[in-house]
Amino acid sequence: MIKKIKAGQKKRLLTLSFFSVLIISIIAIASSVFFQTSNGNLTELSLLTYNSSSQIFEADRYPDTLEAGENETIFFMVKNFENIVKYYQVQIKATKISQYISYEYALNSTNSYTLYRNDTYEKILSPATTSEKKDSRTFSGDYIWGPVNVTLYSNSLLEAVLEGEEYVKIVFELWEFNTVNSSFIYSGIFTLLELLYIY
Amino acid sequence: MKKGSKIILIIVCSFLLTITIASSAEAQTQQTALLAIQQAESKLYETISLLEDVSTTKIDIRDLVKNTDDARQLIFIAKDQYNNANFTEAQEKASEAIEELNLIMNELELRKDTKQQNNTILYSLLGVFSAIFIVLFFFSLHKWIYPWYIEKRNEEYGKLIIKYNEETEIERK
Repeated sequence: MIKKIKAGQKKRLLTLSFFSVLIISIIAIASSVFFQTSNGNLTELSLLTYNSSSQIFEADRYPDTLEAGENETIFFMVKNFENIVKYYQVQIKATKISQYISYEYALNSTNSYTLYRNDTYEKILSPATTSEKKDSRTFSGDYIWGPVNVTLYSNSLLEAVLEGEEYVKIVFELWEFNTVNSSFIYSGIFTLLELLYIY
Repeated sequence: MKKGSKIILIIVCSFLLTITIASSAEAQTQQTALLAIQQAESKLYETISLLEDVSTTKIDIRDLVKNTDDARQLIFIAKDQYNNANFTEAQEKASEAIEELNLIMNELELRKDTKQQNNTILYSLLGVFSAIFIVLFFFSLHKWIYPWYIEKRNEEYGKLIIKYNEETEIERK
């Protein structure tokens, strides 16, 4: 009788241990899947100006006019939070204010004028580390491109695209290199400036 | 034919021959430069693909990314030189870029292999220690925990006597 009880208890104890291990494993797997630290896969494209009095870059005091024959200075900055190495290209295009800017399709030669067509802005960037992702106010690092100085200019080709419209939209499109096609593909990321065009 | 005319004819022929050879050499240099640029570009795309793959692991490749970007700039300069008909310089820059990219790819492969070896060692150790832990756990369960549990159980319930309520049983009958 005692022997029978002993065997039953042993079995119960083993079953208990087995289920404990099973439950702990399930919790561990679930936590690694659902509670993993997601730092987001994104690329940040921003426009900045340089404040010479305070000697800092700021997202403020953007130019509001572009005069024919005159230049305007602006800076763009790209941050790689994608978790992998990225090869970026920034294309700067001028278009009419009425032109719709899409997340899917880039502006083309029929509806825009590309500035610096033969001298495109390109850079290969390392991904940001977890600690770098937390510090969004940094302006230097291997995952940051820029701030890059861009001189906005106007010419007759740009004026032809504007067709006499009063305002011009300067669009900064971010393109990413696709290793499968060995070509740049529009990422859908853009930022823009709306300027009063003075003929 | 007069002696003077002969000399002029020889000079003209030599001149034409020199021009032909020079233009042929120029065309060859141009061709070589173009080929070098194409090779460099293809190598760059290959390196970027490899960098993308490796960056998903936890290998530190920041220095290699920076070097790849430098190589990209060299290719850009090579193209610029080519467009300005400086084919020798273009070829030099493209070759420099190829050399740099080859070094980067070798280094990447080396770091990948090292990481793989380290991972193999780490996971092997983890497996061995887990196995030891499991064996020790079940051994201690069998050797100490279970006897201790039985001892405690007996201490607590061993002296209990089962007493049937005989009167109720008789009444039922």
